[in-house]
Amino acid sequence: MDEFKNDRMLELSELHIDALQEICNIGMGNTATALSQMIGKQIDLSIPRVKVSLLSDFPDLLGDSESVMAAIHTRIWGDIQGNIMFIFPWESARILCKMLTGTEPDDEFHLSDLHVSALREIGNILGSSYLGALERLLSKSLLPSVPSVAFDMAGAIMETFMVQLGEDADAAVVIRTTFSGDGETLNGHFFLIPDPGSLKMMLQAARVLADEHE
Amino acid sequence: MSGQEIRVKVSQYKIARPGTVLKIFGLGSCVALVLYDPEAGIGGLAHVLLPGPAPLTREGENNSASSYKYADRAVEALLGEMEKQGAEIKKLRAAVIGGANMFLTPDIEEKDMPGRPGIGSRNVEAVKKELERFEVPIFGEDTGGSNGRTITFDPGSGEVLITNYKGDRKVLAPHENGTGRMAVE
Repeated sequence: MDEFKNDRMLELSELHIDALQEICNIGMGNTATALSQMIGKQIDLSIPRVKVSLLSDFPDLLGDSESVMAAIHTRIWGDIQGNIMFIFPWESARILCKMLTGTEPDDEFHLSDLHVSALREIGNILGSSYLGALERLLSKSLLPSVPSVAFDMAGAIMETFMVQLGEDADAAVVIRTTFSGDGETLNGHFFLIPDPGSLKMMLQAARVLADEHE
Repeated sequence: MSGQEIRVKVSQYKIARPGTVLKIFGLGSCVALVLYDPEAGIGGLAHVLLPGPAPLTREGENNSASSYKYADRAVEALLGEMEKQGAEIKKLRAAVIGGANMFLTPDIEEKDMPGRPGIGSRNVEAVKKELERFEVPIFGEDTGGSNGRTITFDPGSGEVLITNYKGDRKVLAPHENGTGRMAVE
C-alpha cells in the first residue's frame, strides 16, 4: 500500500531485526519462567517475529479481527517508551483464570471482577519480568504502568494501539511472539510495540546502531 | 442482501450503491461515519481514527491518504466524493457509530492528558462537529461504552446493523423525513 508515505517510518536492516528478536527472546525467556512457575506448567515459546506493520493492518495481526480475546496491556515509561501486551484467546483466558483463582468464567464470554483482577495481576508479573530482563540487557530504565485489561473482539482491542501511535506515524515496528503451555491447551500472544521515537534508542542500547551525539 | 461486501479499514472511506454493503469489523475507539442519500441511492462509510485536526503540511494543506485518519479530513473527503458520485449534500443523512473505550483502566487511552475525555468520545465529538458544520442531520447514533462493534451498512435501505462479541444486535435506520428511528432486535 504505497498510499502510506511516512518519512519517520524506520527501515529495518537484517541486523536490526536480529537485535530486536534477541531482545524479545531474552525478555520472553524471563517471562515464560515466571508464567511457568505461576501455573506449574512448562511454557514453550515461538521465535519472535519483527515486522514493520501499517497501522491499518493492526486489526488483523491476530487473525480473525472478530475473534474474542482477553488483552492485558502495560505502557512502558522511562528511557524507552512503548507498549507491551499479552493476549489470550477466550479459551486460554478461561483456563488461566481457573488455574489462578480456582473458579472458571462461565461460557458466555463473561469475566467477573475476580477474573479481571487475576488477569491484571498476571500482566503485572509477566510485564515486570519482561521489562526487568530488558533493563538489565539494555542498561536503560523501563518502568511498567499499572496493567489494564480489555476483553473483546481482537480488532477493537488493536484499535487502541492504532489510536495511540496514529498521531505520530502510519506504521510501527511490531515485535511479537506466541507461547503455549500445558500441551497447547493454553496459548497466548505477546506484543512489544516501541514508540517510533524510542526504537532508535533501543537499537543504540543494543549496540547495533551507532550512538548519536548531537 | 445479495452481492458484494466491501471492508473499510482504518483511515479509509468507501462509497457503495444498493447491492453492495460496507463493513467494519471490530470497531473500537475509532468512529464509523455513515452517510446516506436515499434519493440518489448512494451510501458512504468512513473509518476515523483520531479527532484531529489533521496537521498541515508545508504547503498548508494535507491531502495525503493517511490524513483521512483524522475526523475533519475524513468527513470532508467522504462528503466531496459522494457529491462527485451524484449525492446531494442537502439530502444526506448521517449515522455515527463507535468511540468505545476498550480498556478497563484509562491509562492507555490517555497517555498525555489524564482527566480529559477518552479518545473514543473525542472522536465522536469531532465527527459530529464536522457534520454540524456541513449541516448534515444525524439519523442514528450508537457510541461510547466499552465494547467493540462490527457494523454493516446497506446503502439500499440505509440501515446500519451493529453487532458485538456478545451477540447483541442493533439496527439504526433512517426515516423518510430523516429523523430516524432505532430498533433493538
